[in-house]
Amino acid sequence: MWASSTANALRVSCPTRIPLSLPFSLSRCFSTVLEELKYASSHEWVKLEGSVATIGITDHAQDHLGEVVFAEVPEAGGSVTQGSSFGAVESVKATSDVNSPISGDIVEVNTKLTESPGLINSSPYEDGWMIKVKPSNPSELGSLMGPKEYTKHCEEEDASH
Amino acid sequence: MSVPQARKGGRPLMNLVRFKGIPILKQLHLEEQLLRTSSNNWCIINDGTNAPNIVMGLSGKPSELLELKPVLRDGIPVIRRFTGGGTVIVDPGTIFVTLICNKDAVPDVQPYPRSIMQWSSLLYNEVFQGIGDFHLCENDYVFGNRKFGGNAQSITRKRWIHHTSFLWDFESRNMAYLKLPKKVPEYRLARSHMEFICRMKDYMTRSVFIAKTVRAIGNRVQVHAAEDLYFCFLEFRIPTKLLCFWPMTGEIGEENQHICLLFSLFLELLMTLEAVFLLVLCRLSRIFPCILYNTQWLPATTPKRNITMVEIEIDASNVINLITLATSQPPDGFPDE
Repeated sequence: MWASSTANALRVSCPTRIPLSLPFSLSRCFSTVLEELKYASSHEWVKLEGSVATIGITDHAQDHLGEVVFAEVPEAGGSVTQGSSFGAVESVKATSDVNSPISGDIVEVNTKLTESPGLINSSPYEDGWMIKVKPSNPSELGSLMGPKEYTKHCEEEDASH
Repeated sequence: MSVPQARKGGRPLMNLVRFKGIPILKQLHLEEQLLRTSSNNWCIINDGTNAPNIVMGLSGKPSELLELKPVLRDGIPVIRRFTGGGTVIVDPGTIFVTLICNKDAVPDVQPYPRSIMQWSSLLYNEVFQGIGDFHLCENDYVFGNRKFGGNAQSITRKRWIHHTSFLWDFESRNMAYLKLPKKVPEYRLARSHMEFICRMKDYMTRSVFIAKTVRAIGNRVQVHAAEDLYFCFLEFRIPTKLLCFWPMTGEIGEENQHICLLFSLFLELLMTLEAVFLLVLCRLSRIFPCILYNTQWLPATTPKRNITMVEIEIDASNVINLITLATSQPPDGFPDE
């Protein structure tokens, strides 16, 4: 994580740690992008398994944010709206909104993040998940990006700065 | 709802709002409102707050960061703000500079902490050029290896805020309210508060600093005195909170739900009345075209002309003062304080 932060500051690409147990594609920007997920342009991912969707922030996002020292998640039982903020993460003196890629009812939140917010850095697609939602409008998933589109989005964003 | 500002001559517009001595809690509430409900760019400068206050970041824990006994003994207010970062004690010697930007307004700045700080450090490089070995050191503004400015940010989907508290002066005894945090920047080494920080007054006067900052910002965006200070009060969660002491637990924490609600309603009522008054004032200014807006903040290339400047100030007692300055040529150099 220190290496990726330094590399980022020096604008040098370096590979991040890749979870070997999951199917993955290695993007040119060297952040991990998983094949079976959908992505929002604001760098959140969503994975639909049956009637429940799991949501978190991407490897690209955690890499750019730096070490996450605090994660604010809502309580289960609430609801989220596509594109609206449901929580925040704090890193390097900044709080960053986390926006929901889809609308729905929150059925579970990752309480481990209270004690271990760094899970978002070390395992953004597994242990670092943030909320689980029952989608109220499954068609919203169609408006999200697939892995290739998201990879291109990250590359274009990095290239323009 | 504020109307999005257009770009003028290719540069984005930024409203400049200047305060002197408003309470830091009020400033933070205003900043949150502008970040969440306005679509304009803003620069807020508060030249000193009215009284000592402790301000922690979003994740700050009073028991870990504060010497609770003297804080409670002396009745120092403790605020948890909506941005990240560490704990500061602010007072009339602190100068606050806040920038609230649409991401599109500064497209060469990625909406991430390091990128925003890099951009702001270039701005302040211009302010402190040639003075005291100024530079950004591990996210702090320093002269040499001594910190005089701390900053924090909050980033939303389309906007971000970067606010800085500059220690123009401070009471040494106030530093005793703060514990040494668990996580410190490497350059701090093992230094105490007094060995780690320094006063900006040893390098620059208040008026020169503020004027140079406005000019540096004006070199990047089109700055003008705030035309419309009204904004839409939409429902949103307000993380910034004034904390209170709970005798049962002996800790400082968030207010009782009912007290919090009453206090929030009271603040909202105050801000609504204030916003309505300002709205009326701004509408009147459009009816009377002789009241123009301050062009003093524009870059030097802008042709000067006779103006009558109307500056809206909100002082610490929440009374709005209307100051009409005599028609005159804008003075050269920095404005009078």
